[in-house]
Amino acid sequence: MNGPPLIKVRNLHKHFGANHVLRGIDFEVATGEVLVIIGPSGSGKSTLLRCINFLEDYDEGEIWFGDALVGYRRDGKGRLVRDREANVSRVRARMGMVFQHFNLFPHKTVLENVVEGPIIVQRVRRQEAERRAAELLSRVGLSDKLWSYPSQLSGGQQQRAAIARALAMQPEAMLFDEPTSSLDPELIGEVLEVMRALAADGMTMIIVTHEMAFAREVADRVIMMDHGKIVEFGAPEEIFRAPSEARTVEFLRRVVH
Amino acid sequence: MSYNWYFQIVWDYRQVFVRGAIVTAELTLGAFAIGLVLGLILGLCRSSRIGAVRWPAAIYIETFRSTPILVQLVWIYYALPIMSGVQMGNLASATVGIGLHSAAYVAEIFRAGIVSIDRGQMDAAKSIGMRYGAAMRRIILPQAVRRMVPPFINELANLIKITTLASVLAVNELLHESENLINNTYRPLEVYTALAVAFAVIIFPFIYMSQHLERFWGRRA
Repeated sequence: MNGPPLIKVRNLHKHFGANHVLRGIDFEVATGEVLVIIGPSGSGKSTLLRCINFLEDYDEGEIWFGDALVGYRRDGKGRLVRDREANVSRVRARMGMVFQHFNLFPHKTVLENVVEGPIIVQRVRRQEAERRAAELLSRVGLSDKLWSYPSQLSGGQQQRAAIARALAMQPEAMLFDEPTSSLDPELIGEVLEVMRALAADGMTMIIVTHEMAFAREVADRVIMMDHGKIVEFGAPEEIFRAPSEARTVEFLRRVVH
Repeated sequence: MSYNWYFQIVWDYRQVFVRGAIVTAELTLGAFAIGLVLGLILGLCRSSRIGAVRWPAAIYIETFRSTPILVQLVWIYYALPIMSGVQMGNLASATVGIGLHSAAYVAEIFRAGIVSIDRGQMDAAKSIGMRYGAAMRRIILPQAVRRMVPPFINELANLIKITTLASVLAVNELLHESENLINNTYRPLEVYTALAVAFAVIIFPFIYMSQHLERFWGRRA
């Protein structure tokens, strides 16, 4: 299962003003691995995910995606300086991101949402992009919604369209930021189903979620975060059945009813 | 006491109104074009994270918003040539002056429209590898522009009326032509009333169009 590390996070620190939200995070994700991050709200899970594709900058430490340092480069004197936008964008395009609130483009149809990245960023011909998009949308069960606008879809359909939009870039890894947290309970299953299939396909994934049963089933490893730190890190069986940290025990007791 | 209205005079001198309306239209189109282009640039600059880009735009916008347009016009026509040696004709001066003034308001409309778009849209655009410029052009602005249409029409209606200030530079737009006519006919009430009607006829279609567009877009998104 585990190939070479694709994502490496080293001593990551991040402040929002005086608020120290990430306090030295270290981990690696291997190619093909599914990593699930759990923890109470405000523990820094989403910020960590957003740092990985540089939607947030970070103050200290390093994030490596393959052989690319995310967001920064070394100047002549060896100091880290912010990388050029073109390079940042190129690294971002190698990972897909799925958001809690879907963030589909409301002025574009589902199909237009999905072909936007390939056509504008990767310069794929429209015909080819549309063919691939239709294929992806059928994989997530939206063949009949190509010409719909996001506002005409249910939350579950919107999130599946958003997953297709991310996959259209043929990413090497997928980041999921609480993908089911804003969905009605009866719509969560269809989104998890798509994610399960992706994991089975061998996609490298980092998932921030509160769906513990899903986490336990799909994760290769689980990270438990609290107050900007990793408090526990291990196989799902260890974390869910026999957590060793008091804070993990407490957290799981509250979320697993 | 009674006043004998004599609207026949308006019809008799209709050529004067048509002539004035053409100049008003020229002024409006020229000034709005300047306002749109410069306003978009200023609005984007003012939304920038970089202080050296943001501050000059902010100073420009606040200066033009907080000083009287009448003074700005006089200044561009009379003072600018003294300082820079650039002398524009009165129509060009008025067009540029009103355009520069309008740009400050247009910039604020653009900025407000841009910040009204959910941050997640820019996140999503970046996450599929789009750069800032492309994300602005293809994702943020198309959504923002829809929200900007009502304030834009508002600004345009304002601008059309502001063009009457060009009369202080003796530009022969509607107001100036009307005043000349009053001096010849001594019929201010009729002429001013006709002037108001002329402006309403020019402006109303834009308001109507704006409402139409809002409904059209409202159906889709």
